This record gives sequence, structure tokens and C-alpha cells, in this order.
Amino acid sequence: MLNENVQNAVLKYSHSITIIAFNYVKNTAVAEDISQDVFLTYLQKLPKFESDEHEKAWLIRIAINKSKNYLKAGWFKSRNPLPDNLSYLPKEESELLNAVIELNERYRLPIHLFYYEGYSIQEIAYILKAKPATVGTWLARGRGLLKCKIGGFEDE
Amino acid sequence: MNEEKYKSALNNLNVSKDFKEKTLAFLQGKSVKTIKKSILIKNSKFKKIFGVAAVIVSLVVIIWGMSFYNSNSFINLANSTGNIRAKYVNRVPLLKAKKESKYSIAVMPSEYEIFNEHNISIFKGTVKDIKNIKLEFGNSNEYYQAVVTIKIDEVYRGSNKTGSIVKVLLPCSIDTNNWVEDTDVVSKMKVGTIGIFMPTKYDGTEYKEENGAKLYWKDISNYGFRDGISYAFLKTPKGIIYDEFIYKSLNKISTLNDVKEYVLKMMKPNK
Repeated sequence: MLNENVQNAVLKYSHSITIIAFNYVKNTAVAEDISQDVFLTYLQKLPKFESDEHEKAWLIRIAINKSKNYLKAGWFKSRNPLPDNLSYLPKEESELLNAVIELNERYRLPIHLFYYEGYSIQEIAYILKAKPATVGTWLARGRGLLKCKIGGFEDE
Repeated sequence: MNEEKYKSALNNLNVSKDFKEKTLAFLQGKSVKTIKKSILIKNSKFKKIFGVAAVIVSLVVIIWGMSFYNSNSFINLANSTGNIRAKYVNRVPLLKAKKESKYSIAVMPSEYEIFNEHNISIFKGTVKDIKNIKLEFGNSNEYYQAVVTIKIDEVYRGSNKTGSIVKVLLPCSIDTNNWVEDTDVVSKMKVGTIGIFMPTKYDGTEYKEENGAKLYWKDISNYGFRDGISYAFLKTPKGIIYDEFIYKSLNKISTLNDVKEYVLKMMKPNK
């Protein structure tokens, strides 16, 4: 019988975790594999969490690590999976998504966590193990880069 | 609003519609016992690590096996006759010291006799390797000696060239607790020892005979010391080691250059 906490986590967070992995590997099939691996790790370790937020933050952290490890691919070579062709999305959406995932990882992930997951700068700092001021800087620079590319992330 | 477009784009990503169900089924299929194993097998990184580890372990085993084989391999005795075997060994068993060793010197040669001996080569060199050997005469008598590899740094007598490598047979094993009479000098040799060496170049007639079996020394090595004290001057942290009883005219030496001067002086009558 599957552990109830793990089962609930899959139902609640699997999409978010897959999207986090997609942010790194840019390929949904690979992102799904990584996501499954994240929950397998959860099943294996069964850590105790103080809250749902803590649980989600832990899963995101694991997803980030596993995605980075996937791209490093061990001792022999770096893996670079073929990025998904996003042309099936509406043009504006695909352009925006491409613009975000082409950002440097340093700016891309804070942007994603801030705008998609709705985390505060403090929470992003906790997840990324960085200082809030640093996260604020990353967000500002990420927004600036997006503005150059697509005219900004927020309507101005 | 771009934020809404971004969310919409991610929500419209072409992910598996039944991903949650598949993930739950995938996790359901993992029993507690197989979780660790599954992770290792599933993750190609681990596969590679284990593959590389297996290759490394195999190589180490092969190299170790080869070195073991080489160090214990029998030496080809092309000219020797009878029931004799010689092989390189890693370990020399503790033997009872024999006062009447085969190598003890009945009559000490004088320093003048040494420099006039037939087939003596004289050179300065560095010990590069030492290998103990076991000589078996039949099933009963066995002796332990050593073969040292010396790189020649300077030639004073003989046909050797500077930089060449020679192997010299010692009358005793090295770095063991076994005491053999009259080997006080050569038994101090270690890898890296610098010295002036005066080995005999075997012409193929020198042999040891026991129980009707003949071991020709040249089957073991091209050079050998006639005894363990008279034919080497070794540089050590405690000074130059040599036999003071034989080299009576050699006193107050502190460096191998002093020995070199002495050797060149003693060789003059032969020139």
C-alpha cells in the first residue's frame, strides 16, 4: 500500500514538480521522468514535514537537484535533451515561455517561482538557499532581460 | 497580462494527461525492498558509476594478478642442469642463521688483489630495484638471494655505458631479518642507494653445484658480487659503508668522490 503522504503529494504537486524540471531540461518527457524520480525519493526517505508548504518546498528542492544532476549526466558527458517544440501553444504563450526558459538559470527559476508558484521573495530565498536581497536582484534582472526580449513580464 | 499568459502556457504544456495515475502506479509497484535497487538500476548515472567501478576493479585485479605472477614467476635457467628452480619471491621466510654460510669468506682478498681480479667492472650507480629470489636445489635445499637493478652513472672500468642498466646478483636477500655471514655491506642496499660498485661480469663459467645439479649464475644475472662486503661502497645517511678491514689504505673518507679518487688511484697499474 502506497504511503498516504506520498500519494497526496503526487496528487497535489506532481504538475508543479514536472514544470520545475521542465524549466531545466526543457523537455516534458524527461521532466516527467525526473518528477517520478522525485516522488520515488520521497517514498524512499519519507521525511517528516512541519507543513504542506515545507513539504512542497522540499520537493521543489529535490526536483532542482535531480534536474541539475540529469543535465550533468555523471562522469562522461553533459546531456542536453532536445527542447520541446512549443509551437502547439498560442503564439504569445510560446514566445513568452521560450523567453523565460532561455533565461539564465539564476534568473529563470526565481521568475518561475514568483510568477507561477506565487512564492514571496522570502520563500524563494528559503527554497534556493539564497539571501532575500539576492533573490530580489535576480528577479529584477530577470524582468529586465525579459523586457528586452518581449517587452516585459508585466503589463506596464 | 504576461503573468497569466505564462501560467497558461505552462498549464497547456503537452504533459501526459494520466501522469498522476502513472506516477502512483509506478510508486505502487515499488516494494520497500526494491526501492534502493530500483533507483540504482533506473538511474543511468548509477549504471555508469557501477560500470566504471567494475572496470577499475577488474583492472586492479588484473594488474595485481600480473605483478603477483611476475614476482613469483620462475626464472628461465637456460644453461643450468639438474633439479634446480629459481624464482622471484615477495616474501623471504625467517631462516636460522648459519655460521658456516656458503658465502662466508675463508680468506679475505687484499685491496690490491681485488683491483686485479678478472672481469671486475667498476662504476658509480644508483640502485633502482631490488628483487629477492629463491633458489631450490632439489626438494631439500633452498637459498634466498637478491638481484639488484643498478643504473650506471659513471664508468671507471668495464664496457658499460653511462645511463645503462645492469642487474647484479647479491649473495643474500634484502630487507629481511635473515642474517648471512659476510654480507654486511650489500645487505644495506635499498632502492635509491647510490654507490660505487665492483661486480664481476659473468662469462658463463661460474656456477654453484649441489647434489649433482649445476646452477650457472649467468642464467640469473649478467653480474654478481663475489661476496657481500668487498665489492661495494654505499652512500648512506651514516656515511660511506664499506669494509674497513679490507680497504686498509682508505681512511678519512666521507664522500663517494673520495672513494672515486681511491678507486682511480688503485686502477692505475692496470691502465
